[in-house]
Amino acid sequence: MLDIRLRKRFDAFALDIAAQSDARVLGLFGPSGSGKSTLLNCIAGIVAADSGVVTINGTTLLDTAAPSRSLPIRRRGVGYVFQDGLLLPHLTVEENLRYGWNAHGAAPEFHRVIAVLELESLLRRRTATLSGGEARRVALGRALLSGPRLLLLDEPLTGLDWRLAGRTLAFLHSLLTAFAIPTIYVSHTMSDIMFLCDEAWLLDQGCLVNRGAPRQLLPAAGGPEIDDIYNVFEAVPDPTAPPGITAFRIGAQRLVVADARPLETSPSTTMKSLGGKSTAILSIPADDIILARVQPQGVSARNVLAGRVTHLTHTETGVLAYIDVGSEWIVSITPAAVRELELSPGAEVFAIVKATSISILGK
Amino acid sequence: MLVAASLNDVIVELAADFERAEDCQVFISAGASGALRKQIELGAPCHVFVSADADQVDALIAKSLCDRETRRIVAANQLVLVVRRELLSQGPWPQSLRSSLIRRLAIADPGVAPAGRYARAALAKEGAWAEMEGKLVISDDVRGAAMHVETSAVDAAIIYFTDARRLKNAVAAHTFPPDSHGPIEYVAGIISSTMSTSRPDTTTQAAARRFLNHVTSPQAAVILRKHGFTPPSGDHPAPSDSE
Amino acid sequence: MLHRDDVTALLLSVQVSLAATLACLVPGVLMGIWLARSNSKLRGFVETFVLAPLVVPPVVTGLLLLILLRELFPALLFTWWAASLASAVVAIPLLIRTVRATVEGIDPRWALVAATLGASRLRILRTITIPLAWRGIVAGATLAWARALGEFGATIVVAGNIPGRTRTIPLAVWTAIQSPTAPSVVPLVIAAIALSLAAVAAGEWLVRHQRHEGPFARHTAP
Repeated sequence: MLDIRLRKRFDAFALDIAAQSDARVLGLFGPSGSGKSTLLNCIAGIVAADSGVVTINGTTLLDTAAPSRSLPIRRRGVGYVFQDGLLLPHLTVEENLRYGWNAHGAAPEFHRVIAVLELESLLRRRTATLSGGEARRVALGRALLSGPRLLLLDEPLTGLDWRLAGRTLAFLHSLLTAFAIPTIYVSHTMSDIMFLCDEAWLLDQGCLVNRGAPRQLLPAAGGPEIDDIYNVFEAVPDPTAPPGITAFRIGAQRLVVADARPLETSPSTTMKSLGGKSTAILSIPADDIILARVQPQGVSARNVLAGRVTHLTHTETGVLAYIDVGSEWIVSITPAAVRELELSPGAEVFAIVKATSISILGK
Repeated sequence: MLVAASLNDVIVELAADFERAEDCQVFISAGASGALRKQIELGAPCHVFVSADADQVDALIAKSLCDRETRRIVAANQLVLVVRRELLSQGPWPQSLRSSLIRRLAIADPGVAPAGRYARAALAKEGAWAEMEGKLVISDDVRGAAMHVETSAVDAAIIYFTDARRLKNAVAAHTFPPDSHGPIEYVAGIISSTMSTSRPDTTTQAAARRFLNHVTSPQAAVILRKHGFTPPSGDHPAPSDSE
Repeated sequence: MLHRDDVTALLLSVQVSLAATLACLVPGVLMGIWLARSNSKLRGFVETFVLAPLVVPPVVTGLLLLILLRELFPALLFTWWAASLASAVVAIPLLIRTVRATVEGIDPRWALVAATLGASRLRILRTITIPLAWRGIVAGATLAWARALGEFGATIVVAGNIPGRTRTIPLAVWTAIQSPTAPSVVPLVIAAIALSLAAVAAGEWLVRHQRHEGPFARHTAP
């Protein structure tokens, strides 16, 4: 249970938040300059709040009214993954990872963290020689290994190219599933929050303007920086698929993936490399799904899945149809299409997706 | 003028008289005699040199830097052991130098100042040089050694009688007999040319000769005695004369 | 080629200067770090006081030390301890200044990162500040050592010019140029220059062989 009440004033900006959350992974969404990083810095103690109280599961991190109850940075038990990574430059990867070992509490086992984040091969390396994605994973591991009571992730995907972002997103998912630590996840894109977070807070100009379930809240949030919506979801490899075809199961239906832009391997070997894992993480842009009221025939797309409309949301730019095909997908369509197809909650629809529109982000 | 450190005050007084009588300015620089000789050899401008021993002047004469005819003895001094006032009664001196009462003894640097050589000779005559070597504090010139005992940085010092008279915190405990170190005679000479001057300046040279005559005159002898020196061919003052 | 007394002066110089540098090391580095990072109001005052030996004539520093030692530790006067002390006092400002400048150049975020990972102030000092400031520490210590080697004015006042005990190289050269009967001073001068160059070379070696250095290592934020 996270309870945040904070006020902080800078020259041109004022942060004023008062809210609580029971979410395991809390997403902070908002454009740049909305106060997300400031909020994290106040919680960690790097920036001194003007006034406020922050408690996590009963432990007080800061209380400006009772300074003796406020904890110094090193005892707050906050695992902060900085946007810049900030790996200590004079230490190797392994030394960075072990730096905060057990500092705040019982940390997850070292080898488990290394395995989940695939850091084994990097341990002896110097931090200056790491790529952006590798550095982020090390920073994640380092924060985890300090045994924090709260994890702060400051825009982990920002600045990565889409391929790397996808892989990192998969890592984050594995991490958050494997090590259940209360987490605050900051981003100015919505698809990652929708995939990872249980609850989302919308920030704008230092204020909390809205909060709720990410998938409902964010796509409709609008605003000038609205990004494309990606459906990110888990799927199990399809054991009944013929050889040479990469396919997954969603409910009782099969999803064929061509992935003509493989992340690191060709489609055929991807199937093999997934052998050790139980699920994969797939991504389909909301714009790439076509809806039909009747089962289409003779369509070139490899995937036609049957499902139902769960609800519709109207935004400034169009309509978002939430459909359930065994996995909940968001489809962006025009208001005219809604009228023509007579779409309404409960209506049966068929979702058409080209195999090439689906990306495998990772496992 | 380059003069031995211990002569500084008396030469200053004699020079003041000389300046009044003649229309001539005297510039005085004092230091350890050996160091002064080295300076003259290196070309320091100087017309009259007064050393606390004969060796320095004779060495300059040998190098044709000093005029042999002008060599003369201008004063004499005695060597004394001074100790801090409160230690005086713990004698006998100089035998008690060896005791643990005296942790440090100051002398001038034997390599540079005649006073240091005299002190070393005196200690050797007592048979104490080897023992005392570890307790020695060596100063650049005899004035420095006197300062050390005056400020109680050391417990005792071997310095000239003329310097010992002026100390307040230390008193003379023993006068070394002249045969333990040889006569302490101040020898003066006119510097005929130095490396820096191409031709001797005859006017200044004449003035220099007149100054030397002044220093050895009967009037000067009074002033010398006043400061505790023995004029050439006079008797040494007794220590009790000094108070 | 080197007279026996010259060798004594050489060894004494090494002993005195090394002892002085080692004595400076811990207080100098800590003071340099404090001056760089402190927000205390006392900072300016302490800085002026601590850097004073840089601008005050060494002989004056020596005189102040003499008065101090006479009152507190008269037994130290005219010993090599006093010579080391005098050298340490005039050399430490160089170490402090160099360390302070280096630490000021270190990104303060590293210390913050370490704090979020639970590091105490002492641990941050040990594992972040000092390793990252290593170059500056070595440079400062080398500078201090060189200054200690050449120290004359303060040394001669508190330690005197006693052969075998406090007659370091600068004092030996000084005596030699004054004494009309001393042997040539040239071998000693050459030895002195060689010693100073060796000090500089040692500093370079220490910097190059820092434990974590790689050929392209940078210590700025990514």
